Amino acid sequence: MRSIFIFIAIVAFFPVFGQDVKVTLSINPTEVQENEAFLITVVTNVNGSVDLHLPSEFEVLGSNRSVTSSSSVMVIINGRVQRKSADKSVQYSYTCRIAKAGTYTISDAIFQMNNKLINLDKATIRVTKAPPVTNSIKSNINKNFFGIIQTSRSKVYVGEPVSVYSKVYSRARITDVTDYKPTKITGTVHKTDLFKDRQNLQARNEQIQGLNFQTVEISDDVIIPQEAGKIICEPFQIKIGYQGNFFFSDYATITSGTEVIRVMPLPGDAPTSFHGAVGKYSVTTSISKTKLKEGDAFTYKITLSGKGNIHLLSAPELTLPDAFELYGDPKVTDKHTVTHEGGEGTIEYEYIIQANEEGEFTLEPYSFSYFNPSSEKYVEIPISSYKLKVAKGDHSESNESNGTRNDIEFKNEGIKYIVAKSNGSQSDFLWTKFIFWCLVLLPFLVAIPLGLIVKNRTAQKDTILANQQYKKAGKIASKRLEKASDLLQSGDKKAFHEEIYTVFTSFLAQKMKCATSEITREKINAKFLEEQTDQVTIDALMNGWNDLEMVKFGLSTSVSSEELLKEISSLIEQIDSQWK
Amino acid sequence: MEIKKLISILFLLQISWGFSQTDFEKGNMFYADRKFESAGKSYIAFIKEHPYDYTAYFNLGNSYFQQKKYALSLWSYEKSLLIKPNFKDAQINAKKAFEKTRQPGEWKNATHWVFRILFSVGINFWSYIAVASAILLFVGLFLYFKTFKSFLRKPLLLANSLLVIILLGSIVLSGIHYKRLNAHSYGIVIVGSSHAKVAPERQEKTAFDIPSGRRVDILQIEGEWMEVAIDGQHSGWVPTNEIAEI
Repeated sequence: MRSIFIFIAIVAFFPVFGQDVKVTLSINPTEVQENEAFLITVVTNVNGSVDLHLPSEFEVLGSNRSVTSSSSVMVIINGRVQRKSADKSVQYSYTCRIAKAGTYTISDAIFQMNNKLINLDKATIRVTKAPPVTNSIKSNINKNFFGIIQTSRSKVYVGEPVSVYSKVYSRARITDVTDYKPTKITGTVHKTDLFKDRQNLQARNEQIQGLNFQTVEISDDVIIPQEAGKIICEPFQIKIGYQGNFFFSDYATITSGTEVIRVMPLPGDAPTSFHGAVGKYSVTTSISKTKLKEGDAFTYKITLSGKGNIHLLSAPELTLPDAFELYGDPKVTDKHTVTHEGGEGTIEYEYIIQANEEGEFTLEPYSFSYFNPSSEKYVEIPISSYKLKVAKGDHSESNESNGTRNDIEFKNEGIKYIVAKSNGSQSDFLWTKFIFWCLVLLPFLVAIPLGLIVKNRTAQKDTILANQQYKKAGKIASKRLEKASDLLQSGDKKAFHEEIYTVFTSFLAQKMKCATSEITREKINAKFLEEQTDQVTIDALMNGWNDLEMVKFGLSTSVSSEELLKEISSLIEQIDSQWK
Repeated sequence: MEIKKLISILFLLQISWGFSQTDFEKGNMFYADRKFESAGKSYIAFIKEHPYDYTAYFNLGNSYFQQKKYALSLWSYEKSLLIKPNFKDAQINAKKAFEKTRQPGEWKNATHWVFRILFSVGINFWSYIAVASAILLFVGLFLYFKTFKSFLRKPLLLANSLLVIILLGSIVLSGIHYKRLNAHSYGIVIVGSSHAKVAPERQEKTAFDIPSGRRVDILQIEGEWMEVAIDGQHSGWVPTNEIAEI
């Protein structure tokens, strides 16, 4: 029978022919503290046995073997063999710890597969000294949760870096960290935060005095004191979640203690070349050329290397002979990093200097010394001096500068001289003064109300005057009519006509409380209607008005002057008696 | 006897003149003696009392220049020009200081030409105009109400309207002038080279370097850090002590 044979083999205990053998050895993490647990892992895709040949310092706390996949399928169809396989992964894990600080390498690890030996790649682990079990840890060791502020030194010199970190300890497994109120450092310090990833805090297992703790570091700073005195690290507070009963987390609030660092002043016997460098340093200098012409520029480079407060040092100031001039500020190339031991690296200062005079000179523009806190002594670093030969240059540009170098106006620099008198009279802005705002608001706050008051008073006065004139108008007119009568009797008819016209219009103006020029027939009519004057009086007034205008403009009229006087006199009496 | 009296009076006058010498005059004396550092200190003391004296800033700039502190001298000239934007000598010296800081390009006055015209007339010019127009307006309004019915009414109304415009305009200009001098919206890099960080932390990456003497726009200040921008495009954080505000 041409049947299909299917053969399935699960290969679990021997290597598959033709398959590449992969074996890797790793350590995680690669840096631990003394007595901190770490994991050695061998991962392979075949079966076999592992012999790590661990150095004697390694203490194995436990081991484990796990297989994640080990299936392989062979299918034979009509005599043709086809193989389908999945990746296989066998993992051997060893939990270890080392009690002594140092760097350890697993170099002789062997993987044995059937009768074949495979040498594994080397793996290295660095074990750092565990922080000392400080008094603050000792005093809290019996607590289930506590927090400490740890400083690398409790007594330092000004400028000497100190590492300050905060850490929480828990006997239970930490599941959460929240509500962190960081430590406050009081005192004049320069602080650098070295914490890399605050969002992803790492828990570590530590054994202290035989007790297992899980710890989390929550801050890591390096501080450099700037003044002698005390630096106080005030307590931090944090809430930690830990694995409680069943699957739920319980929470505990931790408050740390206070740490005090005493800062000592630097010894008083500092050399003149000391400008605040504390730590350990070396200095090299170089010069771009030693033979040059007047007016030529050259580069002087200072390379400062070391660790301490290097990143806080200001650019060195050069002392140059009068014949040389510093051109601009130095170019700074800063290659430093900040670690727990302060700033570490190199800073280069590149100066451009111009030679202004010919001659031979010895250049010693720079000196450097630092304070070494370990030896508690100042160290002066010898700096190379340079012999420079400056030849006579082309004087087309420098004639002026040679002649005026000592001049008070320093024309060689090409800058305008100082101003002899200040304009110090304007020392402050008037705009900000109260008096300014009082003055500018004066028209709006005072002039407008004052003007309105004046306007009202004037109007009131005018009204009173008009009322008085209104009442006395008849009497005044009568008196003036007597004068007109005298003019008539004296035979001066022209003067009489003018006088009588003036008397009548003035009378009407006073009675109508308006100017004589404003009197029109329409206005008189409107006034009569307002005062409800009888029609006889209106007609008489209109006739009288007509007669007056006729005689005023020299036109002939049937009315004699005597009759006109009587008519007007009678009209005035009538109107005066009716318009009270 | 009389001559002796006169001599002693003259002597006392001379002494009192000596005591009444201002820091500005002391600075000038130090400068003439080529004691530039002492001159600078005297000018700074004078500036503390007279913060808007452009001549003191100018002389301070010269004393920095002579000490080869070119970035600081540029800052002083810029400060002087902020107060009096058309001050020719400060413009000339600022150009020289700019060249000394070895920056690319050439120095340009930071003040727009319109402001140069408006604000080169003293810090209180517009305030005085405002006060003068206020007083005239006071009189004008009073006359307007007093002569309400007269033929002067219309011309007075016109004159008063004009005075109101001048008054309000000069108050606004005076305010702008005050704000300009106190805005501190730009500054000068006074260290060798300033590393602008992407965030206000020393450990952060350097976004770009700003050379000494470079004029930068100040965007904001956060503690010991200042966010600055150059060319109105790139912005970064630098320590406040590396920038002198103008």
